[in-house]
Amino acid sequence: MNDLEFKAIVEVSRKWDGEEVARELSDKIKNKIASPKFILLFTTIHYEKEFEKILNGIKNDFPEPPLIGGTVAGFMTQEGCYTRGVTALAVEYENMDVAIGIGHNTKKNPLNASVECSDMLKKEIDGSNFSNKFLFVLTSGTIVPSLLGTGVKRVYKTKIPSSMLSRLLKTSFQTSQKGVGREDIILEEISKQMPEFNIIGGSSIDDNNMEKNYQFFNNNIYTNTVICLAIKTDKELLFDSQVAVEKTDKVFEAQLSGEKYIIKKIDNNPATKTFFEYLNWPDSFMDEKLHRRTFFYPILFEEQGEIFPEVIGGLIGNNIVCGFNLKSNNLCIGRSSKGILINAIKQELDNITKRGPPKIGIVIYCSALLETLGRDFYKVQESIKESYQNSPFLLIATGGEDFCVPNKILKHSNETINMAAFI
Amino acid sequence: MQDPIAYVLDDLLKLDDILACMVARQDMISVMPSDGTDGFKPEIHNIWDIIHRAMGDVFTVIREYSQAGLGEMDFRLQDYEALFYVFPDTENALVAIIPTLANKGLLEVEMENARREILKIMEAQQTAQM
Repeated sequence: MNDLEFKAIVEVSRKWDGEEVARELSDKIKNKIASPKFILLFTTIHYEKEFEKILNGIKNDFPEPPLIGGTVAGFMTQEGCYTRGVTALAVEYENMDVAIGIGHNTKKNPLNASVECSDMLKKEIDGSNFSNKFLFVLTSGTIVPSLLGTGVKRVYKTKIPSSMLSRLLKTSFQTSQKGVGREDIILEEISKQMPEFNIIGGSSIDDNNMEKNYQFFNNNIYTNTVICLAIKTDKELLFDSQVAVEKTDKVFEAQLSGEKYIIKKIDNNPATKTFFEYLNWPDSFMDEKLHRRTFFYPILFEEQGEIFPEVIGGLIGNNIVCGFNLKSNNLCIGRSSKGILINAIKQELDNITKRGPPKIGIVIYCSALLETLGRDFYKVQESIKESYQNSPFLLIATGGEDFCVPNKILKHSNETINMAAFI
Repeated sequence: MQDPIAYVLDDLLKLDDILACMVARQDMISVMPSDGTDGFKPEIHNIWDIIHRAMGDVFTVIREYSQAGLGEMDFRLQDYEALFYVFPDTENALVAIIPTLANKGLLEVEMENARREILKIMEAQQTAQM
């Protein structure tokens, strides 16, 4: 098998009507690839009412290859940067076996969902003899619950004890499947079930409002699921993960609640008040724009030399609610900026393109970073285009990022940039 | 025949948090979406007059500094933000009004796409006139 027979494309549609989107993407794929091994499809939330038409249209034209995908905050290709549109990635290569899996009820029971998904994958892929193993994971991300019957809010000034907050959030998982995405638990379990696979993935999200998200599995539409694409191939893959945050000297000890993503005290004082004091922020910053400010000041913990940034999801009284479990009580306030972000992507590209431009790359990019960069997102595109030259790539902006290289690193966090590339 | 720039504005206006958009210069709105101000989101109507007046002052600055490379301006008025993306070497800008609570970074990406598309149309129109 020579290199010429590896074909990969990434296409975009900006039409609004689902049938037209499907037709445009199918035609573009057909023009370049006769029989894709798999299709990844991502849309922004604007297409919520068009999902069925898009998926049915594409599956009608490509009934054989498995298709997975879901909603993302935005995406980037060779063509441009988009926070509204639909994109498809397709690969054709003979020496490649693929399988797709799905696990349901990720918020209610993340472990069961992970096992359900892994079992499905293993049944299909275990028989393959190719040695390079890659898993792409997309998990339903955080959905902000409506606590206290006041609609969807991220900041509650009401004094509420952390024990009661824990109970409310737990109930929300069980009754409405709303709350944090529990992607850290899911990634850990999937990597345990499929220990030889390199993993990259992300959390499905809407337009960063975290009110809803959807996952696609062939022509079915779900929410609160984890979906995976497993690949075994003889084609070599490279992986890299970069943190787009720097540590500051603002270090503190946190007291966590029963739910390990809730900080109830910092240095033995009420968490929110103390966090604001550390940053010299006025009380007036405690509003619904808070998450836009905290993108620049995430909370960090370290585990085995790795930094895990967490974007603050909400403030409820004096409790700080993060997006996933904090694995240490020793925390630090991080700092991000446009310069740090641009440097992180440059470092990643240096690592990935050491042996020349890849055949195709997929980048999982934190949607908080996209929100932070705004129109400067195009600067990231310029860097990737320069390194990839004419090779296709797809960057998706997700609500959290997953990364695993067996026996080296296992990580779900925010404000990271993860890349997998076929070389 | 409808100005092709109006179609670009129509697309932008379909985003929930773009409450109003136009291509404008000082004392003149050059291109509106196809339905004019009727296409603007209803919540903007109460505040449109004052925003429109404030825009006039911003365009004084744009006119002064666009040749020096001024690319972008914005201002916040009550619960709204007005974003100005200046077309290079002109006194024209793509203007959009958004709620202050909107995820501005995401909207900026689509504003930039619209700006690029409009720029292409303007260049094509100029070439056709030559």
